[in-house]
Amino acid sequence: MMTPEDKEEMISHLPALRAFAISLTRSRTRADDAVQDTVLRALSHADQFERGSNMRAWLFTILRNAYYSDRRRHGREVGFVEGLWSAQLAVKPDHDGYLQIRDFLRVFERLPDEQREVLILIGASGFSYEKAADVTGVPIGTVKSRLNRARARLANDLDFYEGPMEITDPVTLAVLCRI
Amino acid sequence: MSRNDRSRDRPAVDDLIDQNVRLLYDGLIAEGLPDRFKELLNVIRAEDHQQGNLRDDDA
Repeated sequence: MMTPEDKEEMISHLPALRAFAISLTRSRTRADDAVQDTVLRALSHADQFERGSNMRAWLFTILRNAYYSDRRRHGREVGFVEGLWSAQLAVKPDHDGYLQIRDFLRVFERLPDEQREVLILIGASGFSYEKAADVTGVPIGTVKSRLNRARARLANDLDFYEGPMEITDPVTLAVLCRI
Repeated sequence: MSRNDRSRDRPAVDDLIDQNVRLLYDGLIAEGLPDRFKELLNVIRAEDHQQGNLRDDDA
């Protein structure tokens, strides 16, 4: 059973868990369902959590296992509408930052799930290769290989090698990502 | 640009990609949680409160 402190820690991880879920499902609605389901699973399987271990990694593992289980049952593209996530970036179309981040998101959301998740886990969440391997249930070499393929595809499709792409500043992005 | 030139740029390009992914991810985190979660979290916290009261009664 989770102590009140454990529950508060779990709650503190939910915004990051939701961000991971959105990047995995590419749908806010599906992501919110997945996060809610993960919270309920975590509470009902609290005895499986080892106190002192990484709760964020445990929650991410529950969520992604449920996602892939669902994907196996219902098919790869269930619920995914290409371009929907990037279309949800709400800002004037002539805004430079919008075009940059929208272009990035368009390619990012087309990456295979397994490549997108390692980019989020390692590139954004700061998980080590070892921890990402634990979460995804594959060897470290596979994690590195997926990460390399994801970066290579983004770099090629966005032409990053031909010249530096200016990144959108965090303040602009906060506006861009609101829907 | 030759293939060799491209491979020399790889670490910088990887870093640029990670910066964009972090910006996307941080932007999603900054959204916070929708209202449906606030209701769920209130229920979870109320559960603890009730259990705490029961423990106090037992004592």
